[in-house]
Amino acid sequence: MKFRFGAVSMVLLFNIICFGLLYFYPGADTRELIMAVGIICALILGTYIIVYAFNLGDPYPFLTVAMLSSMSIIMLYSVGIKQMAEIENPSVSLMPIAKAQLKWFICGIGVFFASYAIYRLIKGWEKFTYFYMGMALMLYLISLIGPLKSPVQGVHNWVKLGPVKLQVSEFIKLCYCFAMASLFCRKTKLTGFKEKLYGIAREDVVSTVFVYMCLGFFILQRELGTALLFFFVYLALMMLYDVPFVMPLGNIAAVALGVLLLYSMGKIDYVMSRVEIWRDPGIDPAGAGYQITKSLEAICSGGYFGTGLGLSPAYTFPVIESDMIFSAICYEMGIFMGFAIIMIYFILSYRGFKIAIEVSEPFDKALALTMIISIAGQAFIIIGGVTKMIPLTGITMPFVSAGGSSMIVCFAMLGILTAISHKKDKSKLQVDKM
Amino acid sequence: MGVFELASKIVKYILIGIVYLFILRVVKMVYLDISDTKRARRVITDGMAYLKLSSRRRSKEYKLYDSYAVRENTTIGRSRKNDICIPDPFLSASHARIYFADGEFYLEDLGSTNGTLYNGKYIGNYTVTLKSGDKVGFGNITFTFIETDDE
Repeated sequence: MKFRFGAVSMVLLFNIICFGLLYFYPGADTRELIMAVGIICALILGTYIIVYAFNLGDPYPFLTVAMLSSMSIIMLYSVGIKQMAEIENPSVSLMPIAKAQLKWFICGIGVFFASYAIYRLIKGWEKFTYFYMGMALMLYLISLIGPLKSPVQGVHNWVKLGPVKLQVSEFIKLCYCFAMASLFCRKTKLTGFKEKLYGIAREDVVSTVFVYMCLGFFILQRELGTALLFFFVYLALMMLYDVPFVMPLGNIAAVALGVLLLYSMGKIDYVMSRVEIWRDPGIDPAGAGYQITKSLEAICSGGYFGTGLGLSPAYTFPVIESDMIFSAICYEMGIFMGFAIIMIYFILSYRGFKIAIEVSEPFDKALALTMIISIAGQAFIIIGGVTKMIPLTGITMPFVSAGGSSMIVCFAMLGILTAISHKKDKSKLQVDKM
Repeated sequence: MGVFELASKIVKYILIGIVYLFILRVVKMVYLDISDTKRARRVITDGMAYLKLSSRRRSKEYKLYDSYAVRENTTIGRSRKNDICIPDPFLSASHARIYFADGEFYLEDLGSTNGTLYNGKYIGNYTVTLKSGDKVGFGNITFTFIETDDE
C-alpha cells in the first residue's frame, strides 16, 4: 500500500508554523510551546500512520479532526499568551485552559483507539436499547439530584467527579446515538417495523417517548442547545428511514405546541429573551446581548485575513474558549479560515455519510448516520449561533471548543466511525480477491 | 513586539494558504479513492468472459456486483472458497462450475440442492456448452454469460 502524506504533512506544517510564530511572542513560555507542538505532531502523525498501516479503516475523518483540534489548541494558546502578557489577574485565566485542552487532546487520541477496539471486539450492540436508555436516564438524574451535581450559571448540566468537572449532556448524547440507532436499525424501507402494538410499531412508541423524555430533562437542566440537537437528529432519522411524512410534521407540531404551552405558563422566559436578543442584539448590548454583539464585532474586525495570531484583543471577550471560539478564529485568522472550518466539517460529514452508505449491517449504518448528523448538527447550531443566523445557544463546537467531556465524546464517536468504516473495507477486499 | 507583529501579519496569509491546500489535498485523496474503487470494479470483467447480473431478488441482505469474472475454472456457490461467492440462501455451498476446455466454456452443476438453470431449464447432471448471451440461473439470481471478443 502506498502512503499518502500530502494532507497530513499540511496539518503538521500548520502546527509547526503557528507554534513557531508564538515562540517568538515576547514573554512566551517557550519550553511549554515546544513541548506542545512536539506532542501534537507526534500524536497526529503516529495515529495517522497506525490507521493507515494496519488498515484500521477510513483515515480521512481522523485527518479532518486533526486539523480542527490543532486549530483549537493553537487558538487557545494564542489568546492565552496574549492574556498573560496584557493582564495581571484576569477573571478567567486562559493559559490553563489551553494546557488542559492539550491534555484532553492526548486523552482524546487514547479514547479514539479505546472506543475503536471496544466497538470492534464486542458484538451485538443493537440488543442493548434499554441499557442505553437507562444510562441516559441515570446521567440526567445524577446531574439534577444527588451529591455529584454542581450546576454552572443555572445550567444543571455538570457533574463533579473528583478534580474533574464533566458535562453530562455530552455523555447523554453518546447514549442517545446508540439508543436511536438500535431502534431505527430494525426498520427497513419495505416492511417498516414488524412488531405492532395497537397498529403502531413498538419501536416508534419507544423512540418517541425516549426523545420527549430527553427534551423534558434538558428543559429542566436549562440546556437548550443539546435539546435542539436531539430533536434535529430525531427529525433527520425519521426522514431518512421513510416513516410516513405525518410523523416528522406531527413531531414539529407537538414541539411547537409544547413551546407555546410552556411560554404561556411563563416557564421558558429565558428562551424567549434569547430569541428577542437574536432578532435585535441592540436592545441590550451590554447585558443579555453582550455575547452575540462581541461575536459579530470579532468576525467583522477580523476581515478577510484576520489580525494575525496573537494580535487581537479576543481574550477580553466572554466565553472565548468554548462558545465563541469560532469568532476568535475569525478574528485572528480571518473569515477565510472560518470558511475553511465549515468546509472541513463538510468533508467530515461527507465521509460519515459515505461510510453509512457503504456498510451493509443495519445497526452500523444507523449508528454512523446518527453520530455524523449529531456532529454536523452541533457544528451548524454553534456556528449559526455566533454568526447570528439562528438564536445563540450554548453548545460546544465538536473537536474545537475547549472542554474535556466534549473532546472525549467526540473522539469516541470518531473511533466508532472509523471502526464502522473498517467493515466496509472487508467487503471491498472480497472484490479485490476476485 | 514589532518583529512579532510583522511576522504574524505575514504568516497569517501563509496559514490560510496551508489550510486551503490541506482541504484541496483531502478532496483529491477522496477523489482518488473513488476512482480506485471504480477501477477495482472494472478489473472483475477483465477475464476471458464474465457473468452479467440480469435479475435479482429485492433483497439487500448481501452485496451483489454487476458482473463477475469467469476464468478457466470458476466455481460458484455460497461458501467463501468459491471463485464467485454469492451468500444467497438459495445457493448451495458449492453450487456450480464453469470451466474452459477446447475453446469452449462448459457449465456443470456440482450437485446443488436447488439446481442450476440454463436458458430457463434445469440442467440436472448434464454439462452444457455456454455461448455468449446465454442465461444462467442460480437460486433466484439470473446472469447473462458474456464472452469478451478481443481474444
